[in-house]
Amino acid sequence: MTTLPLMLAMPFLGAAAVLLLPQAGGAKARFATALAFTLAALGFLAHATLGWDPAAPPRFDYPWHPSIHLSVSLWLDGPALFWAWLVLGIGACVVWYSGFYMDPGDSPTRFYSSLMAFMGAMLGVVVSENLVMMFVFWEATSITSFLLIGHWSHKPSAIAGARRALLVTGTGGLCLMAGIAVLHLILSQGPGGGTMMWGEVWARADEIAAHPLAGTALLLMLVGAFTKSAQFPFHFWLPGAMEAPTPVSAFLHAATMVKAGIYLLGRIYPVFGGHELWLWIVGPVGVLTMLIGGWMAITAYDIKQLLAFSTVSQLGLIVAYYGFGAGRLGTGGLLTLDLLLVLSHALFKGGLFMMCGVIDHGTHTRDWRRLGGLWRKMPATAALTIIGCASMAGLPLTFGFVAKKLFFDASWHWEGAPGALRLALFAGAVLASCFTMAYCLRVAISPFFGEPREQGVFDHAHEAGPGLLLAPALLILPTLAAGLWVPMLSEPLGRLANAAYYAVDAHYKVGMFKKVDFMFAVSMAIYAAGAGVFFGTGAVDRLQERAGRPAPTLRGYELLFDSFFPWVASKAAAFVAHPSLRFNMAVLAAFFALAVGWPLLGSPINAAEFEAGPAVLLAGLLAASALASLGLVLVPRSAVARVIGMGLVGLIISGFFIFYKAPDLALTQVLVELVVLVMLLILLKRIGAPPRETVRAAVAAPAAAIAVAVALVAGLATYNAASSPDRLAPVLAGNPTHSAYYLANSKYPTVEGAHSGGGNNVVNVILVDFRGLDTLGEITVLVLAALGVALLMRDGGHREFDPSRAQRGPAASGDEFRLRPSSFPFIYNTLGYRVRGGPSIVTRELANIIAVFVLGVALVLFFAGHNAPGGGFIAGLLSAVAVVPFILSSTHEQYERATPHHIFGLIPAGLLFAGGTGLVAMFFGLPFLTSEFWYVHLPLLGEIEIASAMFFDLGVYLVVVGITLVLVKGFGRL
Amino acid sequence: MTLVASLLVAALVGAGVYQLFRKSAFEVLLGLLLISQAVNLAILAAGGWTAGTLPPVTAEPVVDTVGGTAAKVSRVDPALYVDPLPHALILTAIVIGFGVFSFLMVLIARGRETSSTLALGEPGPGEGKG
Repeated sequence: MTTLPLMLAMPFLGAAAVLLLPQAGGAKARFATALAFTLAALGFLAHATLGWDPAAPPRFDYPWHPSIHLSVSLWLDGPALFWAWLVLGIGACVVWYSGFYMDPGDSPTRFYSSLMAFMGAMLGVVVSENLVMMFVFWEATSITSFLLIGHWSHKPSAIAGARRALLVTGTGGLCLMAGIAVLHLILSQGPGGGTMMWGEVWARADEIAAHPLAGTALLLMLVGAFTKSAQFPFHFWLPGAMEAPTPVSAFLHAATMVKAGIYLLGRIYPVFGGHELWLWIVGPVGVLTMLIGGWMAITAYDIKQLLAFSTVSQLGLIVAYYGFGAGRLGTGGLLTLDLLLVLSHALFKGGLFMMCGVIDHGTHTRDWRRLGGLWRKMPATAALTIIGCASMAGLPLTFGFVAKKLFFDASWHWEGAPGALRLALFAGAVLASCFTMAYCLRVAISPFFGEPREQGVFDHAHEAGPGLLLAPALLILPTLAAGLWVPMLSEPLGRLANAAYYAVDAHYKVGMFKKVDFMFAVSMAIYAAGAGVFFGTGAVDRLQERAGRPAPTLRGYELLFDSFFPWVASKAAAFVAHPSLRFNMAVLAAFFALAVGWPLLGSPINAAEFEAGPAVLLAGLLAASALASLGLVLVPRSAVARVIGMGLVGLIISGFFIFYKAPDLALTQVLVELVVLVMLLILLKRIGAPPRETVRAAVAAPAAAIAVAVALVAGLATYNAASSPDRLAPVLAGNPTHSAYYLANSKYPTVEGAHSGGGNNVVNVILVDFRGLDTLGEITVLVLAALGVALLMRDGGHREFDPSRAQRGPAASGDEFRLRPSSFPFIYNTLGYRVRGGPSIVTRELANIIAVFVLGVALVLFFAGHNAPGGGFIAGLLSAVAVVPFILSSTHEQYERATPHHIFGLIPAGLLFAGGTGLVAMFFGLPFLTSEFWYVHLPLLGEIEIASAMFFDLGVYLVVVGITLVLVKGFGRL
Repeated sequence: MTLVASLLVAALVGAGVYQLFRKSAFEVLLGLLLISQAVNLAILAAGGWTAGTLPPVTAEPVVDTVGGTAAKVSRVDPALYVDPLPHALILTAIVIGFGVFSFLMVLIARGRETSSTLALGEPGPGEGKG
């Protein structure tokens, strides 16, 4: 049994645990929880690494929907192992850093839960073997990134940045999905059939590459990768994302999430690396992005913005490295060392972002124009930042130097590329590296050396504590002395990548310069030119001023999303929707009348149903009284009278349910009508019992015409459907209908050993067993409705229940919750109100007694429900109804005290219970929600049947009780 | 019976649709309630009405013991009972309708509190474009 799912679950469980922590724990408890779950995930990863065998990497496979190749498939092949360490290792550092960086009052619950959810999503991207799963996690990283960028939601710039990041990466995500679909299409046309697994995709790389749609799939996936990794022309979202708290920037926008695109490039390189489009797109886009990012970074004065542009530039570098792999596929050479580049950048850039946060923390500014001379006050900060910058610039002895050397070697020795392209990209990369050198000098020198530029800031500055410095030190210090350990690391890393893609056994050693050659000269030239650019920043600034700074693609984005789409949306809305609700209603109703009425015109009317009998006579009488009640709804001016009419109509309908032999329906209807009636009366009190308005003649005539037309069509359709001889056709032809199957198999199966519901009440068995999934969906809808009610209530601050006031008892209750007797004093009296004064004690006591009695009946109905009319819905409604007299006869405070807040825990509890019963079946290897029943022999009582569907029904019961209470309570609070 | 039910459906739908054309949200709510009652009844009636059938609660003596073992096999004749499927559908519809209408009621009450009117969606003098 592999521990992979557990490892992946840890961050998500951590997010849930943070959310569930009691308020009292504060930021510390949330920080500790997040750290503990991260370390637990690391523990599982370490465990998996210890016994790791490249030939048989750990796998977890749960077939979900095999016919469309959906499965929950996790694996830990070489690259996945590397990336998982990267995500969790840096994740642990970031969580630690957050604990010291974030203000404890700064919504720690939201922050740590989003951070942990992101960690889980990112981990999911890299350990998913199934492409669809990877896509789902990919999107989850976009959403969590959106939440984290917008963490300081009071800042408009944070909202704008978050929105921009979500729209750009979300659009790219859709392209990725389309690319995966095209890939699946290609594969399903091949002899091996469709698949969604990475391993099989690589095994059939030649087949894919030869397909005419290969270019389309590649392009779509490249858009996905480029948006995620902020490549030109999509690079503009990344600087905006810097509105996020600094730990988030270090984690998402430097070390991990923006590298998801790089990860994807690495995964698809073995398939598409030989494609013409790869050659002409990946390398050029990478180098262009390097140049743009570097150019913008030179003149940035906010250190964090500078680092953001530099990230854009260096992501371009890694992308370009993959570009240089074009035409080299199968030689086993190039990509063995891509992971070194990724690791190098993640270490120094993650660390530098944290250092930027440290500077901000110590000086309250990130603007280098206000800093200077800080090395005297913040020596450790200065040292770490300078080391990080040295690595970023690729100075000898650092990890960055090794990475740069790899990159330039790959660029210079790019065989298989046209000579002009190779030279142009090499030149572009050299130029971009000069920019890199210049902005590295900026970060390393400007804040720390020279004279303080602003005395106030300098006086205030203070060194950070060891806790804050620990995480960046852990990331930055290893980039030193890379000459010692990187050569040792390169071989295992190479083998990690190799094991996944190639059979070729490549040995790549990298290290420091050993002799003075061409590359050495190029490097020296870059250092010198970079220093030149640094001292000439002013000239660059003036040049940019003239050329216009904002990236042209950002302008394009603004045109598209801020102008064009809103314009299209408003035009489209104006076209389809008339501003008048009535007009829209008329169109809908008329459409219904025509669309349903037209086919009815030609159909014959079946006269065979004109039967007579005592039941029909009684039904006629009922219908007549229903019409009278309808008159009560339509005619009187008094709103209360109309509501009473409404209730009567509902009750009479329940009579029809009895005629149609639907006992469960009749019970449910009566109960619902009762509750709705009470709620309508309370609503009337709230909205001031509006008198009936008169409809203007200009509206009344067409409205009446449409109403009559719709009524005729509805009646005719009902009659036709009910009396159609086709209705029984399948039965007559010997084909059993669903209904016949349900009836026959309700208690016992018709075939020995087959499935049956174990209950005599077929309606209840359909609800909890045959169609249990539908019911689960239904109670979920109810939960959503209750959630809506609760949210609408929440904003009514002045009516929020205040416990301190409840303590004062009924005497102080006042006017909060008391129906005012109006034109119908009799009704209010009957409902438990005296004309003057508050609720009477006698009625309240009576209500208690009634409640106990009614609850008893509900209990009986619940247990009887499987075999006789009743069940979870009905018992739930009845239990809630039991409370209604109590509500009506008590003051607001009394009711609040009787229904403490945690009673609403019934709703999630019921939902979990119902869903959980279904999951239990899965543990026994049966499909979700399969029910089972057993017979237990008890003394005295004889044989008792216990059906697992009953537990499902219990969940339904809990949800219905909870929701009815929330709804009624919501009304009490309005 | 079918005729009676169909007539009632027509009356309820007609009244409900007419209510929809009133301005006040409260009146529209009443209209929607009427229409939902009518639709429930229509579904039930469409299931057909046959005199003499039993409610869908199957009687107990429906069991055969096969070969003396405890395995029980159903011998229920579906033709004896009314169609249970519309019942299950309508039960679901009633409960969901209850949830939705409660939400609507709270929405109306809140709307009344914040905008001090119950009038729905008719363009005022200043609006009406876009």
